[in-house]
Amino acid sequence: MNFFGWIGQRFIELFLYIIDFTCFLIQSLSVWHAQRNVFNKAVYSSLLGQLIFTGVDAIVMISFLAVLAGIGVASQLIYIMHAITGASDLTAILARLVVSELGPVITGVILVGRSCSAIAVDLGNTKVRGEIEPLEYLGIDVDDYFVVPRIVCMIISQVTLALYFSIIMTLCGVFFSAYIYNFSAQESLTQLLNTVDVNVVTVFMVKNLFFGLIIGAMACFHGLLVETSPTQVPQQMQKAVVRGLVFLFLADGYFFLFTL
Amino acid sequence: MNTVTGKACIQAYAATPAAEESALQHPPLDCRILPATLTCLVGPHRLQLRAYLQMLAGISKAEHGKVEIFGQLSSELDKSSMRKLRSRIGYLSGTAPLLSVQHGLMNVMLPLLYHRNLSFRETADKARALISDLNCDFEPTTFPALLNSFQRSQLALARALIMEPTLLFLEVPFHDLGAQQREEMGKLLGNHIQHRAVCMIGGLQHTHFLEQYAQQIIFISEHKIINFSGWKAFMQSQDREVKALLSI
Repeated sequence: MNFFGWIGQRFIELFLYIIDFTCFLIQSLSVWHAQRNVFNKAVYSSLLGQLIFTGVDAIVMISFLAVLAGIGVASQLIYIMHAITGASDLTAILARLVVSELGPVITGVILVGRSCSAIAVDLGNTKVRGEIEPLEYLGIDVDDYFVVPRIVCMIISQVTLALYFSIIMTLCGVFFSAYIYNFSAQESLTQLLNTVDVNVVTVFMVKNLFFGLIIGAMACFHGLLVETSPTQVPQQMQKAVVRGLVFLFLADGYFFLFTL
Repeated sequence: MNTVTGKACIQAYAATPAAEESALQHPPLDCRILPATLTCLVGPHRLQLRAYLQMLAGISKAEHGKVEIFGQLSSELDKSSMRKLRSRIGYLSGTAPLLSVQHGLMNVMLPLLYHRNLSFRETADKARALISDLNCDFEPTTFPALLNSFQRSQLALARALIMEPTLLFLEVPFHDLGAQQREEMGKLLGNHIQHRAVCMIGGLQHTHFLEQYAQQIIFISEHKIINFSGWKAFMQSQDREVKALLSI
């Protein structure tokens, strides 16, 4: 096969992959139609379990990284901005780069590495061991019980953890910089709060919601692509992580253009 | 044929399952499965029997002919009606394990939590009562990986019975059990299938159980299907293929 043939084949594969993924997402989410008792007890217990695993258990790691990123990245940005333009553009830079950009992306990367891989492996192993089929025979819907709670939890976790990450990172960055470079942290934070309006909050929420949807759906999609061989589990896990990151940055790029 | 009369839980009219990955021929099946009777599908090919069992259970659709479950054509049911129907049918798979990420009690509670709007406490109480009724001598909150094959089979049976189904499917219920454990499993099944229509495969792994409880034995091979009205008729069959199966 020549180079162009190879490129063409890759494009066709990518196109079919996106169609498959979209169909999977639509089919999974369609189980939550209007007449259904959304939070039936089995789904609810699965949802709670996932929320603890994806959200609560990640708080320590997120806090630690937020402090490090605040001191290492945000404080450097503040220093550079102070050196170049003085304090005038500081809040705009903080709002744009740290809160809207770094917070969601770093949280997304952590969730891809931590939860997306775990979900793909968990679902893959469950499928390989043949544990899903008997539940289907008892009338339990795979999408309803396995997929939707994981996606919903990923969305909730991404939104809340990104907000938490952004707040901690900004506070650490500002206070650390104020201590080192001797300027008023209170003033900077007040200015920053004043720049936050409904638009900024909406974009932040939509962006994180979308990130969570991508990460959760990608993890479940690849986890359930495992068929009968245990060797497929690490393969699909790897694909879930790599493609999760690719789609995360693509989505981030889209939001960057959208909010320019 | 069966001496028990009444409205059939399942009726198959010249039904053949989809071939799927198997290259085996599937002869058309005509049968009635009546309430409070046990029907066992026997034959030389496990995959073939499984295909017929899943077709009768409404899990897969008949390629030809039709299958009625509780008077409803299985091929015409939409997703939601099928889910409702499935909640009335118990399915025990001896080869397919319990959900390993949930403990035993939760595995048993799961179908009830999913299909009925009961509280956690009510569901747990009901599951514990059933588990105790099945003589489980272990802590039900143990994870399946820490249980032996008989204990897992007990929990799988509890999971199949928790919805109090009137129709029960048993797929190789004696799989992976020793002789003593098969006997115990046979007794447990015997106690819990009295008022239910039961259809099973893998009965020849414990012939004493079939001898005691089977009112209908359906022999299925690549070339023919023969209905027998119980173990005795099956044993007395002069058919060459049946004899060959019994001699194994």
